[in-house]
Amino acid sequence: MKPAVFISLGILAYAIFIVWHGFRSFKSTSESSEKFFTADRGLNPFVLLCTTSISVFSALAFYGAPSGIYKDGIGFYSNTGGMVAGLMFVILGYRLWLLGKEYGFTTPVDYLRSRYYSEGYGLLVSIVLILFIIPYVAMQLIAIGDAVVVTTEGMVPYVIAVAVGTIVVSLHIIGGGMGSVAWMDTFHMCLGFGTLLTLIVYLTMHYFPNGGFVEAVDIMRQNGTFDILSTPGPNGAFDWKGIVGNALTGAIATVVWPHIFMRTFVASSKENFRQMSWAMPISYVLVYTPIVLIGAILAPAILGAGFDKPDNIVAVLSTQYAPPFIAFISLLCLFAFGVSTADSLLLSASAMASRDIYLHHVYELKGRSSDSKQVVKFGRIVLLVLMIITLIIVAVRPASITDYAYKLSSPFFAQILPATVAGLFWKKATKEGAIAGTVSGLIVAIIFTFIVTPPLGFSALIWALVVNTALLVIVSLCTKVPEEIIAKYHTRIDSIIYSGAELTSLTDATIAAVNEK
Amino acid sequence: MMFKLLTRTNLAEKETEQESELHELVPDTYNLIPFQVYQVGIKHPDTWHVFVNPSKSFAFHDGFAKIDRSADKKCADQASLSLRWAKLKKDTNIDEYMEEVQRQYEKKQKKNKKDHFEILSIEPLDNMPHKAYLMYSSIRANHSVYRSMGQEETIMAMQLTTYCPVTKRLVIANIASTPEDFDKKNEIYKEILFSLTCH
Repeated sequence: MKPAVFISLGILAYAIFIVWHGFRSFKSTSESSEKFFTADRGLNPFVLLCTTSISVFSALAFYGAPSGIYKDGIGFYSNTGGMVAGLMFVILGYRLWLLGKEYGFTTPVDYLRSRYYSEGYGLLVSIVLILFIIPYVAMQLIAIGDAVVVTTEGMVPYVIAVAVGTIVVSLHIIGGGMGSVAWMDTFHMCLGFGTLLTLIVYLTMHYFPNGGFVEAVDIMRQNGTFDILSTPGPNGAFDWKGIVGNALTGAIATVVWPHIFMRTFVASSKENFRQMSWAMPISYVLVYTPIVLIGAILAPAILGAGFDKPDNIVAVLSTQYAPPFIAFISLLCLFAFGVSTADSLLLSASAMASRDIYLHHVYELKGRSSDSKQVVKFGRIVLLVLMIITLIIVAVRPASITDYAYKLSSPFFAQILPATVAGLFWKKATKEGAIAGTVSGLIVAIIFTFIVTPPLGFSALIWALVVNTALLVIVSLCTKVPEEIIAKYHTRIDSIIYSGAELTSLTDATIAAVNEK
Repeated sequence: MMFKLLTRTNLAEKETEQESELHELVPDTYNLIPFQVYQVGIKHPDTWHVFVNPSKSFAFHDGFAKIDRSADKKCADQASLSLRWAKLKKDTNIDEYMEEVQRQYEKKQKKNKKDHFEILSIEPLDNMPHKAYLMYSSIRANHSVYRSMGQEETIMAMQLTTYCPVTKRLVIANIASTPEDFDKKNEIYKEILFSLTCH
């Protein structure tokens, strides 16, 4: 069998497996929106860890991080500052989880709209998040499509690859919702880590049989790529400011990405958060370190200096420097990272578009009621619409729009961080402060991304967050938060909520057990 | 213009307006008023708020509501009343349910060794329209993710459970508060629970 045929059949089997996995729980997830969007707030610690960790890593991390290190040096590794996300997940996540259980929050918009008592602010946040989720998802699918074309030597055309990818990811979520996404992410976490190790072991044993990494580093001394292993790196990008900026970017923004934010609501118990505080940094380093090894040691030693397509080093290593089976393994790894990010983001976009925009504004605010099954139905319809929009974007590939939106997505998602933190821990945070901070943060992010180079070597994201936070604090100090809000989000959370939630879950568990008999 | 648009709907101000009016009119005493939904009714102090979780089912066959005043820091009363009703999949004897409750407490205790979940007493009630049980339980837990960073807290709960053969629903009313609060207000809390109606 030709390698391209073998790989194409493998991709087909993988696609069928994913769709089957989603639709096996179609009936049960149709019953309630809690089940569809939050998996009944009952994810066990291991699944929660895997789905959160793998969702942080995108297809672009698998392809982008090694090329970033190859170009700018080992300083790029500093974005493992993202491991702090584990701590952030605990500090913010536990309080969000309590509030979610008590007031039924499912999305970041639910929480922010309610805490800042403003429908307008909720609408602004939901529109910004949804608008910038779609190009980010599209970029995952485009990366997958490109890789499929290269790996199958053009046997599967680009349009077919991205169409299949988009439809498969969408159907998987439409079928099984959050529960299915979380379990598939767990599978992808194991798959991604396993395939990464296989790729590294193969490349190391095949090309450096007489010393492994030591031999590879010796080759780097001779072929002029050794400065990749030093700071500030070949282009001087990672001096202390570059390293701090890179670390902060990864560390502080990750937790408020919509799909990660939503995972704070789906934990089954308080224990999950305690475990996440140590397990998430470990899983982050475990997954990220092999990716770094490819860019910092294997690629420079194998490809040498001045490789003309640094963005493609992983694709080139796995297809031109490895047998078809390893190429397929590498493709699966890309799928693992890409699909896990795309499905989680699409689900969060669906939750926000259906619940926070359509149902909230068309039904709830007009006093009309909608039942839980209807919410799931709307969520699925929204997913179909998002699938079509994503299909058009990935097929047409409007480079400028996609690139601009992608560059802005991370700094834009991060702009809800100050309002989220202040809303949880600062009683004086007001609606006016949140609006002023978020809007100014978005403006600063645009200016420093496209118009002016950010000063002092810090990124647009950092500057936008500084301005956002400063305005939130200043405007909040000049305005007043209603007593009702302080009571609901600060006083109440410190008193009866936790124990009350335990009693409620005991009653629910008893009813469920009696029903199961 | 943008700012105006964004601040157009101020949910809290609406609620606060109503709330302050209520405080002025009603003195801070236990004046019990009826709350009824889907034929499940209970009396509660008129200063307490009803909280409905939009993500949970709220229908005739299955529902949940919380009524409490724990949001008001000035009020020493931190009690929380919750109402739960559910149609069971088969005709279940209430005794079976009560046995299952005990199993669930034991299970919870086994899972959370550092917290304390205990059923203090279960007694049958004669003065209710249907067979009912009054259960006292206690939970000792810690609010913080890390125990060393938070305080241990004991919560007492008094729960009235009944099965309504007319509507074929299990109906549960539960009041949770601190042990000190229960010492002072046990009788009024009993009065609240005994006002439970199910059809």
